[in-house]
Amino acid sequence: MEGSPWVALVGPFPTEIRPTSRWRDRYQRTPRTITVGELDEALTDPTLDSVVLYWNLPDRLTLAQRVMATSRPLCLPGPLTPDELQLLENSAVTPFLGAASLVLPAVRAMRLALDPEKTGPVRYVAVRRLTQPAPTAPHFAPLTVALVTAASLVDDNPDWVFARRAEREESDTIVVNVHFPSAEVMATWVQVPEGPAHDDWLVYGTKGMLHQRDEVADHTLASHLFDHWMSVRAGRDEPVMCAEQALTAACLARAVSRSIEENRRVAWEEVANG
Amino acid sequence: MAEKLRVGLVSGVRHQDDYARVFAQHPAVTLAGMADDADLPAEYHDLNRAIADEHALEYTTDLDAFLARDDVDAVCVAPEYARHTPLALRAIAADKHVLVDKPIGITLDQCDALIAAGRKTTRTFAWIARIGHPSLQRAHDAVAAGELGDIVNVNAHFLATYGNGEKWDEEERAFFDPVVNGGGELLNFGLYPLTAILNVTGLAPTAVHCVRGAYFNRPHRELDIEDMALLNLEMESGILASVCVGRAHVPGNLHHSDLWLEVTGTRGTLVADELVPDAVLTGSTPGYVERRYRSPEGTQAHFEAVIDNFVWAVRTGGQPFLGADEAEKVMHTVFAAYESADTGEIVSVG
Repeated sequence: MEGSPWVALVGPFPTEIRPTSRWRDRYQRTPRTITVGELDEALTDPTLDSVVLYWNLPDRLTLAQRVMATSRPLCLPGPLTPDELQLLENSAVTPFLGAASLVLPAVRAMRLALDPEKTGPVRYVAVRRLTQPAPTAPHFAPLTVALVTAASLVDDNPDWVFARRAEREESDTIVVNVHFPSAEVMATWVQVPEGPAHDDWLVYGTKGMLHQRDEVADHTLASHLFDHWMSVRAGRDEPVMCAEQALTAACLARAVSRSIEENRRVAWEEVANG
Repeated sequence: MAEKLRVGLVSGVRHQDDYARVFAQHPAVTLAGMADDADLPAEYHDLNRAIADEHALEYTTDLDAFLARDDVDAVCVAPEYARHTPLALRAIAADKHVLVDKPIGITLDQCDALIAAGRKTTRTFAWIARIGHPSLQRAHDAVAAGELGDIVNVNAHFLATYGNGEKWDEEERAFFDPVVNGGGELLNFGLYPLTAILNVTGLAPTAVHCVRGAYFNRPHRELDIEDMALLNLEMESGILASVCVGRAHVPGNLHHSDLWLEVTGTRGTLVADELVPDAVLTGSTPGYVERRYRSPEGTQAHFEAVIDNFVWAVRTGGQPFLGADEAEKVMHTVFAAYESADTGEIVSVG
């Protein structure tokens, strides 16, 4: 629709996100996928509403600075790099931060279903993600977004993180333990050529448990993220991830990396303090 | 040997009532009696007599004389956990075929002593774990047939849902007391997922990292034992495996209360769940999507299959599912996990 607000989705993406009338009618904004090379021209368009910079973009920090210089709302899905965190802390404009797992319908339903009266405080979260290989994903992004989602279900901060990795010709597996004073998280991310991709969530509280399994492909997950961003821009929803969680995600990514490298438990203080 | 295998029941303090019913219904078995030592708490004798009465068996408190009887070919040993090893050793010394309840010992020294005796005996030595469920056997067959391709990751889960929560009854102390049971749920249940992984994939752990604690139940907090443990395992082939084991508190919820196993290979993922009578194999390779392995029976089948396997091993001289070698791999992992949880370090197995 000529002249209507639009949202730039800057890829590369697992698959093309096609504008649909559903999005336009519901949110009065049209999503449009563009390449990095098209971003500067897009930023001069007065009808550009906001920008989403996908997590596998090279040098996303520079792109984020360009967008924020135009005072446009910015969505940075996935865990942030330390430089991106610094940008966030020093900027007057707070970007929207999305952890993709948080916007999956099953995960949102699970979070809504967690009830202190029925399930009690969370004591154990198990998450298993199986994806096709994602060699461009920095900071173990598909794993980290799952970890920060799991961490958001627990009341306190982690004590330590332990991670192991097994890289083989046809697969790459990371298994992570995050120990909290009151709870445990165990997360597994398996990258293997054959699917089907899925997320499996298991949450135990002191009184009850929940189990959710999403048979989702990466492009579906991205679509849910964009859908949520549209909803936020239209004032129909709240962001699901705050700056504090973005910091947690970045720390988790650092802890996982360091634990794999040094083959030991990494105390939270080691990564929380830079 | 007589036409039927004559099985004696040695102590019934813990799970013998379940096993006795399976033996009693086995067409190749006749129950030969029940025995235990004399100097035990009165409630132990009451438990033993109840099982003996149910099956119209004679109950004797002269265990040595019972083990010396020529008309007892084999025994099933199922006292409280602290006596598993000593009673099983006495039965082996008496030249009986022995099936011992889990865990085979409450210390590594106990386990090693029984493993050594199990290797030395010319009779059958076997132990009980939950590997007999049809879904797990179907999973074993699918992996052995190469239908998953190369295995890249395994996850096993046994988090029983019937924990006490905040209920604490002093009379239940003996049920959880580590003096009687050796430890918490890692020792009690850890061998279930570990044995399932070993049986389905043929892979044993070479190193373990473990964290454990009391998260759900007051009895475990009071007695300073774990109600949940998480194991991060490096396996013989270099792949990673993960295990969650314990006893949560989910009143009235049966889902995931039993053994659940997910094996991911280069050609697909297989899920075996004791609550579902299928092993489900999914993958994107043509011909491997939503393929289900039909299984005929329900959740009690795991004991029937293990006991049937024991009877078969005694009568044929064949290797049981779970003998001395399997006990060594599994129990050494359990005790390495305890060491890891206490030190925070990765601990080699073996």
